[in-house]
Amino acid sequence: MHTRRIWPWMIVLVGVAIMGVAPAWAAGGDLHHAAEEIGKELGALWVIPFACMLLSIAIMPLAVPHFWHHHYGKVAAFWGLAFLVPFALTHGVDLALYEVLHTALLEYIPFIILLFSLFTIAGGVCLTGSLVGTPKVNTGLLLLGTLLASWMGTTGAAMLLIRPLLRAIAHRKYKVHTVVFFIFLVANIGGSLTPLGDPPLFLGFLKGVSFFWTTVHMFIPMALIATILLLGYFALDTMLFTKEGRPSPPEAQGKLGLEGAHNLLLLGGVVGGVLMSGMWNPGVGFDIYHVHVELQNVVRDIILLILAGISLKTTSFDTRRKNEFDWEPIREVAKLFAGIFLSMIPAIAILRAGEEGALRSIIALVSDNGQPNHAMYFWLTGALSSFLDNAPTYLVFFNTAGGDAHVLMQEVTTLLAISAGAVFMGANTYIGNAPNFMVRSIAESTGIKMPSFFGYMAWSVGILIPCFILTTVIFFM
Amino acid sequence: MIKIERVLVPVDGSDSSRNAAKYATHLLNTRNPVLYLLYVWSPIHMTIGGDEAAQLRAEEEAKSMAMLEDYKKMLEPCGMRIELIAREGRPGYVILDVQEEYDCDLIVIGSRGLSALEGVIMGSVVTHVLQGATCPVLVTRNLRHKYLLDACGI
Repeated sequence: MHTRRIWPWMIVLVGVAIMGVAPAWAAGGDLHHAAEEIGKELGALWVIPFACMLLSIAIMPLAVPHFWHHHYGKVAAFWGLAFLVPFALTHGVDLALYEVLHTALLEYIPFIILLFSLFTIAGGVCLTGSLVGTPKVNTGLLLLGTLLASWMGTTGAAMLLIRPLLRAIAHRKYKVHTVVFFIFLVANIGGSLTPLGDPPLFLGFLKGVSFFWTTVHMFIPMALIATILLLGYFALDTMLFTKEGRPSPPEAQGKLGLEGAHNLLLLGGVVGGVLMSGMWNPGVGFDIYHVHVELQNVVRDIILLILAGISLKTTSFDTRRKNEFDWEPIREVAKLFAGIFLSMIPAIAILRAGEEGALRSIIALVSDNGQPNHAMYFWLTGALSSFLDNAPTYLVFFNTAGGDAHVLMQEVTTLLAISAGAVFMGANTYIGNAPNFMVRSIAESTGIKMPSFFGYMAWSVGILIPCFILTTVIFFM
Repeated sequence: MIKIERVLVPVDGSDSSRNAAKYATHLLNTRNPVLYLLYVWSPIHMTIGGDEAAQLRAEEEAKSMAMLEDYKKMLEPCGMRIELIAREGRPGYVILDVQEEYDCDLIVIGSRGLSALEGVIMGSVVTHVLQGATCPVLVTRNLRHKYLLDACGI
């Protein structure tokens, strides 16, 4: 209780520092220029906190679960500070503060606000009643989730449909394959078509990639993989359904219904808010310690918060209870991503420096004689997205490719390879994307014995990797 | 007269919940009363799954039961049947689930209050219980000593 009461004071303290002291520090130099050039000076060692932050998320839940359960927030803070403190000492407090505010105001805060609003609003929609889990119905639910994921976020679509799906298959003997394909399709690949679908694409949007660029260019690769997976699932489920003796559920099923349907309208508002910030440019903005914040982005964030507030006020407690709606997942994401965004600053700066930066070896990996190697972009972004979080991985390769959204959108294939790699291959492991482990956790809570970390990878290697090889051959060779 | 046979007392180790539990013993007015003591622990971090999560859950459950046993010892002089329940989840939801599952006649809950920000955004556990409960809810806070006296002599 006491700890919680300290937080408002800490925020006030930081605010006073920024408002009062910071302008004096800033008076002497051009922070924009310094921030632009810093990537050329930083050595590869500066990337260690970022690498360790991502590795901590990947390894610690398996290696030291007890410690991670109680201290993951402190771990994230530690790796953030492991970059920030030495950086402030060696390059000055003013530049460190500028970098932190730049990342917080232009990336972290909008990112968390979007996730918060999607999570809150989607968490107010509840599909009640039970379907009977036949192969046709299950495939239909997977298809519905795949279609919804781009518009309500992979997390939102997964949370909406996983419980109805689990109720539908409760009487089935073989359930694991359904949950695994649900993770592939609804928690990952379905989110390919808009910046709302998957966090990496929203980060791209914040960097200047237009809203519908993703829809237009990702549609065919996404449709190809989704079709293969849906057909594959239907065939597998039909075989297993027959092997089980075509079972029927023992009890009469409740009537299907949709509670909190007005939240779907609010989701439309989220789409509108994000679209607005990409299309409306009044040319008005303001500076907070030399970081330029544009009006349309502030308006977007306020709209998203208002929509989330409306959802909270207008959705019945009972509906949220049925969804087991809880703040903990979004709290976890906020804490972990604070560490990720902070520790990521030097990696992004170095990659932006291109051939002049310390990570030129990575850039060499994804280029042939100065030309981008699209297949390498796809597989490297994908391989890292499989084991590390796909959002920061997307940003790393976005910057490796030059970091200019307009150039990348025109050139198409490099950005397509990065986007597809980040979104599709988040499905390769439980830790590739947040909804993966949310779905696993919910499935386990209903008694389904989900595969281990490597057991799940056997599914993804066996099913997804051949699809990705096909994607490479068709789109990136 | 409405019989109060099954009372649910959610506890969290605080003095407030101890007092609520003591006070609840006054209220059971049947021959075979049952007092359900419930402790809810926070969900396991989502990145932890499988055997690791199962092990953590077992540890949390053991810790919760140890705490509930302390409450049980405290209330033993009352001579009534005391059932201990430890669950994982969000307290507001779990309390309502347990109330329905055990068909409780009354929930007695000690309130500690919460920060202004939490109150605005999340509402308190008590608020959620009041919103969703299908039986009467009695909220205790800052109980004067006289209300705790004569609780089976404890």
